[in-house]
Amino acid sequence: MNVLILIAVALPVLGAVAVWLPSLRRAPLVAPLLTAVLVALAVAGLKLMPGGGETSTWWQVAPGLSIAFRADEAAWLFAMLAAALWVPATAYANSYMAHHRHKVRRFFTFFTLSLTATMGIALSANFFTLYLFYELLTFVTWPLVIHNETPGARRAGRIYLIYSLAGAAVVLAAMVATWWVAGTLDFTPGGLLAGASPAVIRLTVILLTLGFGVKAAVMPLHAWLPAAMVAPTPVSALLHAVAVVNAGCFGLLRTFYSVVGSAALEAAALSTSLLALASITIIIGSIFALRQDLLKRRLAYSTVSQLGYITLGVFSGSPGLLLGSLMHFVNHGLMKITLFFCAGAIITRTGIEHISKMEGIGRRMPWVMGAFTLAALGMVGIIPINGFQSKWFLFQGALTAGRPEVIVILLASALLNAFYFFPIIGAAFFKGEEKWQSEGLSSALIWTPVLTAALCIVFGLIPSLLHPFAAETVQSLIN
Amino acid sequence: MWLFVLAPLFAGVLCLALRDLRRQVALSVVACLFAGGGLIGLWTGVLTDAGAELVLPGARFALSAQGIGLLLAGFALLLWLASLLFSLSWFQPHQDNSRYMLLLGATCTGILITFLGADFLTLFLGFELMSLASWGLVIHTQKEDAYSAGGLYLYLGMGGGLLLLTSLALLYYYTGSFAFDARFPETAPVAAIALLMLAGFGVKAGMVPVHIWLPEAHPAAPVPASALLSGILIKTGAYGVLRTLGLAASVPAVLQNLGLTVLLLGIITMTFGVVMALLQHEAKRMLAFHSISQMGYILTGLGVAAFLGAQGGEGLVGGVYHMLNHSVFKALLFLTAGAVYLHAHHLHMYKLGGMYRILPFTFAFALVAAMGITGFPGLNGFASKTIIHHGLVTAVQALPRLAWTEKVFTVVSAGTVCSFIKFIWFIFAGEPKEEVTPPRYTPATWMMVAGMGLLALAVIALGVFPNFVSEKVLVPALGGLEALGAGHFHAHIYSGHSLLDIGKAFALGAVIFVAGVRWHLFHISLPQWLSMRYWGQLVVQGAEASLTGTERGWDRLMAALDSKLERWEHAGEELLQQMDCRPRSRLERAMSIINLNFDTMLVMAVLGLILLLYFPLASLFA
Repeated sequence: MNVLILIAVALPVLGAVAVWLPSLRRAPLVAPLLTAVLVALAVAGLKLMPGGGETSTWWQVAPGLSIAFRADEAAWLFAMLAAALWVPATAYANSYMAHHRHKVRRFFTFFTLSLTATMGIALSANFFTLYLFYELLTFVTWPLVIHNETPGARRAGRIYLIYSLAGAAVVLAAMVATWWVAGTLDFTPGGLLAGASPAVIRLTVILLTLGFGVKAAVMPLHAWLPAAMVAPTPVSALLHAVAVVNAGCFGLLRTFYSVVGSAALEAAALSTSLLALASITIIIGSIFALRQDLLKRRLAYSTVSQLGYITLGVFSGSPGLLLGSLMHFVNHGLMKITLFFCAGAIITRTGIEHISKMEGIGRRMPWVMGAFTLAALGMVGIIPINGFQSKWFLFQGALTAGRPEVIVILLASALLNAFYFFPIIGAAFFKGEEKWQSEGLSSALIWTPVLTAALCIVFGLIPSLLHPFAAETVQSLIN
Repeated sequence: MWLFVLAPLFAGVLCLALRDLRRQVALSVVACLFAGGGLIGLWTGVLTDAGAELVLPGARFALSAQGIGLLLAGFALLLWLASLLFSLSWFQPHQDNSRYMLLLGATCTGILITFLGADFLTLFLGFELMSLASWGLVIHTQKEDAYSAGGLYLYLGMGGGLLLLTSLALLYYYTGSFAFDARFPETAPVAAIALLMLAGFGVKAGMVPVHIWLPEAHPAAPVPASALLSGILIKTGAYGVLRTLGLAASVPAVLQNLGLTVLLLGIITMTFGVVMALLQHEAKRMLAFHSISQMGYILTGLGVAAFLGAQGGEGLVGGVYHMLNHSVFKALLFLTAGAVYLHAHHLHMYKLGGMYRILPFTFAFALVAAMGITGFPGLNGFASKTIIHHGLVTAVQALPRLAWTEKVFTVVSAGTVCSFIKFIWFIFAGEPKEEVTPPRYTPATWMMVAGMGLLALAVIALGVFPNFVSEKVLVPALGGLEALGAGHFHAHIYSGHSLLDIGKAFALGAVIFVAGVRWHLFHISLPQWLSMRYWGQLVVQGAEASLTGTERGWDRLMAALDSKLERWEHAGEELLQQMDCRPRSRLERAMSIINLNFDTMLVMAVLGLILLLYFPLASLFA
């Protein structure tokens, strides 16, 4: 049993319990942060230490059915992203909850438990483990969605549960189908369904798309994501920009390439229709985003649209596009968490939630809006911010895969992104008559977005921070 | 070298900390001199090229301080200096202008990177920075028309940037490099790449039909910024077109067609610009349309160069020469218009008059600039226009079907003459038509005069020794572009023919002016449906209306569904309550079915469904 994996997956449970320690007055604030840091270190250690790629089985449930973990390339990429962003997100949540005092202990319990679920999904070594933690993620994030206990929040929570559980049920069906055909659920490079009949492969692929597509917000299944924006902003930032939606994308990635396999995927000949689905998501999501006045809702639709970039690569089955989409998997996480942090900081400091009321906000909160501007420029894909990297590799991938139509979709989407982000920037800095003032960098509400925005630039300027890992992952998934 | 290039941006950032305009300008001027000194040092070889390459793991941004890019960068710094000096009187000293100073510095850095970039990637980096920062300059005044102009500018610029990005992706995919002289394999779609680049750079160059932002955006910005925008920023587009032609030069068949395209677009652009300029009454708008028209000259020159290939030296040198010339006299014209505005508070040409008494320096500078732009012999415009004209004549000899372009060229020159007779006549000559406050000569005013004087000096210097400038400065700077004719150029600017040609243009211009004043031809307003903007607005409105309609329909559908669902939910709950045995004790109540809310019911239903699914599926695959 690998100790580091044990720390990554199980430590957050301890952390969630520690939140309730009565002897420590600041336990709800310290325990989650400490947990996040330790988990991030453990995940980083998985890459550095030898033997990280071995499977460690925890519990043999039934013959062939086990709870097992392994940190291969794809797993590490997702685990590292989530664990690394969990640290600033927890710091941010601390400050945020200090302003919105409402059941802080309950909040941090589930917040920390979500880390377990996410790590479990990332590091799972077989479909069964992936499925279990995928379900768990729904259950531990649901209390976070309804945290405010307003009727609107309850309604959003209900929608979230309906969508997620229905999706998970479909995933279960896909799992059963896989078990039936392949007799095993262990993730293997090259997949398990290589020899199966095209009809079965197709059925499985469709079930997987429907199942994981819910959390990945593929277009007709996206409605829960904008609704869930009633959650406190740290939750929106972390779960609905990084952990939950990326879990959906990761589920797709994992099952498409380690369960179905790239050869079987090709045999299913579904990639064109799936690509069309992703393209529709990209374009329609952007158009919806264009028409939102609530900042968080606009960001949510932007997430829907940008996740389309990721699923596009996964659906295509071509190494080049997959590389681009993995780059975007990480880059989008960084940019979107920055944007949500900024939205939350604005809401906390000024109470403004609507874009139409944000005139001059940039001069009242220059650091936050500066970070917002950088991340938004990245979303549009302006060089040298990290969004440019994703777009560049997607372009190259589209050319390699012989799908130039993808480029047209990406261009249209970039322009739509400009349409819905630039009015915010323009209003923030170029409208109103406010005087310049600084909001002070001491609060985590302010410095976390600045930090992640700085990371956006660092990742944009230095492609080698990310590209080798993404390329390695593609290599391991598609031989 | 990156240090010199980034100096304006750093100065702009530091300006955020300073509140006083004079200090901000002083700091920026120091940065400008630092960068200028650095560039001169690199040019003369005193400084080495150390730090020209910014090598990051996985990325490389390289600058190169040589050739035409360095020359244009020098002019960018000159214009920045002039507009900084002018800013001192344009803005109130105690107003908060840190945003403006930052954006101006960032724009300048963007322009410098664009000109000094050693490959297309670095050029693109500067190009995007410049696009974004200059958007801020356009909307800096925070007026309604500035916002609409800014939106147009930004989105067209973004669109152009995306086309450029696409062409770069294609370039890299086929050649594996971003070099200006990348070699294409047989299979590469060179024409498509070149056309994408042409469109991308053309947006910035104000090329018809993607010029529509220019006459809106340039007048909307504060005057010192307009000088920078109209003077040097649009040259980045022309410079990009030059680099595109240089890239396509390795495929002669593509190059010739591309040259013809650019040539024709240039002719259309210059004609359109001058016709629209003649119909304007607002001086800044008129100058903006002249920017379009003069960019047409530059494009024509470059088009000739590409069309004639190695024989096109006159087009190439003339086009590049005109880039330098236009940058100084157009910036100067904008600054003089600004000086007039400072005292008259409007720029409606037909309501002004007699300004030569109130603003003698400005009048002198305006006269120099107007003589420059119209091509008065002895000043710089004459030299470059003559060279371009010679190039065009050579092109006509090669392809007689183009004969009409040469005539159009003369008519456009006449139109320019007429337009600037209007400018000088209505603003400066005659008696004042209204009361204007004469200037108080403060240090700031002298700075403004110094800024304009710098540019006037440049106009004269570039014009007095045209043979030296074209043969000894431009031709060596164009080294590496032999395929466009850099090695095939001999200046013979002052000849009877060329003087006769410009004389014809001046005479015709005067005739148009007299006729225009006599029959009120300058007050014709063109029907709306002729403008691209009108159609663009129609499309946007249509899209908006259809979106709103769809959204409303969708909302109605969802609302109907929602109420249905809610009714079912209620019915379900009621049913459950009826089934309930209503227990008394607390424990029993806790266990009762009524506490299983709808969500839990749903979970159970789904689990049941899964079980149901499991068995049929099992039989399916058996």
